[in-house]
Amino acid sequence: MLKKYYIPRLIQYFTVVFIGVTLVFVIPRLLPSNPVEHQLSRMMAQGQYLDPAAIEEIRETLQQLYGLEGGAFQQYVSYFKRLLTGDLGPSFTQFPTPVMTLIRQSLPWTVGLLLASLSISWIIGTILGGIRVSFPRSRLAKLIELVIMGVRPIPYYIVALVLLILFAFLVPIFPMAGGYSMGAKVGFNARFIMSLLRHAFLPILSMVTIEIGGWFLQMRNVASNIVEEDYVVYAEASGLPKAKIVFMYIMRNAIIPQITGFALNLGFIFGGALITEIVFAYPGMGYLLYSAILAGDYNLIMGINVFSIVGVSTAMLIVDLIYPLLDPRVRYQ
Amino acid sequence: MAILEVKDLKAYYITHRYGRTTSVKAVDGVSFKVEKDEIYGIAGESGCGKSTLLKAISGLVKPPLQILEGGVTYNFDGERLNILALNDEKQRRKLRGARLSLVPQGSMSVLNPVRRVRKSFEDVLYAHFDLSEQEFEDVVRKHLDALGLDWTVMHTYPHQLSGGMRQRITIALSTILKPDIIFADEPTTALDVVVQRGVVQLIKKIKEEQQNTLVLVTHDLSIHANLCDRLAVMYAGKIVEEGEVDRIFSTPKHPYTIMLLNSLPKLGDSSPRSSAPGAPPSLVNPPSGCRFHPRCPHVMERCRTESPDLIEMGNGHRVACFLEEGSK
Amino acid sequence: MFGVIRELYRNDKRFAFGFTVLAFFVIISFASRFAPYDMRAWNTAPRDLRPSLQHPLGTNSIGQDIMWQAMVATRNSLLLGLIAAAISRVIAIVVGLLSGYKGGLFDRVVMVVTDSFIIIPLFPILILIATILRSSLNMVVLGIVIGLFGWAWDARLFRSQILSLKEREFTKTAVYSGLSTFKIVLSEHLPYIVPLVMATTINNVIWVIGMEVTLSMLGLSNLNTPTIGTMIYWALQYQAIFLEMWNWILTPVTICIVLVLALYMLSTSISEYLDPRTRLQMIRKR
Repeated sequence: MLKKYYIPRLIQYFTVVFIGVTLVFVIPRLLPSNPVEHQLSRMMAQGQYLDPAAIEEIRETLQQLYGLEGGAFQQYVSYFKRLLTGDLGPSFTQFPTPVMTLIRQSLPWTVGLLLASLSISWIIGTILGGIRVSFPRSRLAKLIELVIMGVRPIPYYIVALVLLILFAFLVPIFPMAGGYSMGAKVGFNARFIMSLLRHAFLPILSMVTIEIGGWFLQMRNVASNIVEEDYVVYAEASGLPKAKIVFMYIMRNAIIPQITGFALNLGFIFGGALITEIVFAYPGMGYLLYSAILAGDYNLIMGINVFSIVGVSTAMLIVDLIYPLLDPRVRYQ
Repeated sequence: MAILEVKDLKAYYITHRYGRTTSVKAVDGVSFKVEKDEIYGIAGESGCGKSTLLKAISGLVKPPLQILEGGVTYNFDGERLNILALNDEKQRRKLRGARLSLVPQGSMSVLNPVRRVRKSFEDVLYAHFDLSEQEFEDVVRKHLDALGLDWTVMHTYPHQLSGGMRQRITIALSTILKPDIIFADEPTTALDVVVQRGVVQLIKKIKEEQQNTLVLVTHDLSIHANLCDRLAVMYAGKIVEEGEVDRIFSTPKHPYTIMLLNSLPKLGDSSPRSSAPGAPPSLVNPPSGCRFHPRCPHVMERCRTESPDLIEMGNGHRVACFLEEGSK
Repeated sequence: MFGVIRELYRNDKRFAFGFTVLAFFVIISFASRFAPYDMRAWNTAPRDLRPSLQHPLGTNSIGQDIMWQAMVATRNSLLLGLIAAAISRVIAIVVGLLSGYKGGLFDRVVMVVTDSFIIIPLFPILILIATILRSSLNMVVLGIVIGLFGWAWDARLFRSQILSLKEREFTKTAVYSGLSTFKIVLSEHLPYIVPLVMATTINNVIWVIGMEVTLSMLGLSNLNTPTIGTMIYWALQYQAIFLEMWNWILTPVTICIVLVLALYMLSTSISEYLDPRTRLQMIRKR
């Protein structure tokens, strides 16, 4: 069990992190544009007059900041050394605040958004998918399927934008931007929590709207195979109540691949959360990324990249570790 | 007294896809009676409609399977029930498992892989009776003891058991409510030969103890020879011959039955066995007339256009062949 | 091939819808060649006009005709989708086939890398690249960049298809009868892979269109080239929502939704057609 299940998972985890982090290291160095020169030209374009000596000094500082000193291999080694200590370097535009501090501030918002939207969409999508298969002749189920599948392919950005126009502008029930109202006092009080929920509603709604489709579809496909499994046919033949068959025989078995799907889609969904945050100016990592793009803060962008890779793969690892609890076939190998 | 009466049953799989309608005529006009307490065998090659027939008989009909016509009437202690005419699915559920029960093919996945065996027993028992935990344990323990199974299997998951063990448990599960009639669908097919023997003996033992009726569906004629009282031979969705087992094995009438029997090995006979030439026909576009005519060694002009009915040969031996019609 | 299209068109409403809409957008794309002026330029038309006969969808605040703008944008977005999808298809097919046929250690190593590309969140990485390349981002470069990252999932799909084909009876028969591996792949396996490639291509185009919209919204593309994404970008830059210039903002949004839906219907319809279970029913019929 340990050797067959956990060890490969752990190897997979470290490989993914290694490849991802290496990618983030390699990409800026492969591309024709030099971030340091880019940063310098940006500063000059902003109208600062700098004498050549100052430019040289800034260049050196930047090279140090980006860890661009020494040969490629040396850079690579020191890059990993820094990462292992959790040091992602300083943000350039908010110098000298460490990138890690900025990420730490925005992380709870993103995690909250992800947890809420993932759990809501997963539960709804899974249940609806199971119902669709268990009652193949229900017209209502077919209608629900049509609606869900119609929203599924639309990009996160477009769905968020349309919801923003509809419910924050045309019918202004929800706020257009932010994580909570300026007036609310941060803390555990009713007003703050209400404000928190009101601000989170549209971002969560837009993510849930899209993600239901994925879970629904996967559940439908898996479950429609499971209905034909011998144990379901046999349960029917033994006169078990319909509800028992639907929940304990069809859904219970279909949930297992549904959990694997959770892990595999996490990267995509995480990207979706970032996009959604940008549209709603929600103060999470997506918005941090957006401000980094606007400011041309490479180090922050790289830091967010590294953090997302480690974060998403760790979340996946956790799901993988929980998985055997659901599937006795893995647990008692 | 017949406990089960199937009359003119037609069950097709009908699908509509891309503007084309396909119907697989899996059961096409089948009639037979099963007497109380007997063991009735149904034989035929794979894909001849045996399994569909069982589904229809136990009322497990859902799209794409459709019943076009016919009736399946049970007679439980004088109470006559046409299971296909019951409008309420709930009533059908009440019958299944309790009065009629299915022993499925001995495949890997008959038991729910994520539930312990005990849960499966609970599911079946509690679906039909309100029992206390103690009563449940008593009932199951008694039944398992009678079948020579150990109580410890209750705590296992299906994948932890051997194929033979799983099949024994499935049989135990199917018979725990002492059903009036048991349908066994290829109960030994996926098992190896040594295990097969044990399973056959188990089924026999249960039948003797519980005094129920058994309908045994398998392609394996040797099992029929060992167990059954009467036998029906199916070909392409129709019954072509029916009668007492001894009679069919000693004086088979239908060319298809003869072909099947010739392919069996016999003790002391070392001449090479002939296999049945040709393949079973498609059930989508079955041959015209007698469905066996493309493979029949005695085919006549009439067989290509007309479909023979089952005719009585005496002593309950019925055959659907024009050859016999003439000889009678 | 055409027979299949006709069959699907007649009998599957989703396919008929998707096909018609896509055909419409393709025609529009070609018609965009007749744009009366360079659609990259500003102030070629009066500003902020409501829809009229002369400007059926009105004009925007930077002096462009929205209808023509939208037509060129549709063409460019579709083109970008095709470029990126073509590149990722090549990678996915090569990786999937090699891995599937070679097996062994090679397969394991390649699959670990592929899985990494599935797991790693691609969106921040694309942003990293696009930020660095910002000045030199044209359609082709953007297409290549997006294409380089959209192959992993489908490579896995192709590989699993190959693995199952390798196990089938006809492959073994072909092997025993002494056919060379290359011939088996070409004559026996390719017919199964090609339709699968088609379906995944459509799905990939959907993903690319969405990615383009998202990157453009962040200003990370060549903002002078009209695409669905840059149209939305400029509309938002000029506060089209607050000025209630719905003709400006909703035109690209609607095109995006309808186009993506049409493509999605096509792909579900095709993959359902390819589904082995439905396929089986089709074959039995013949």
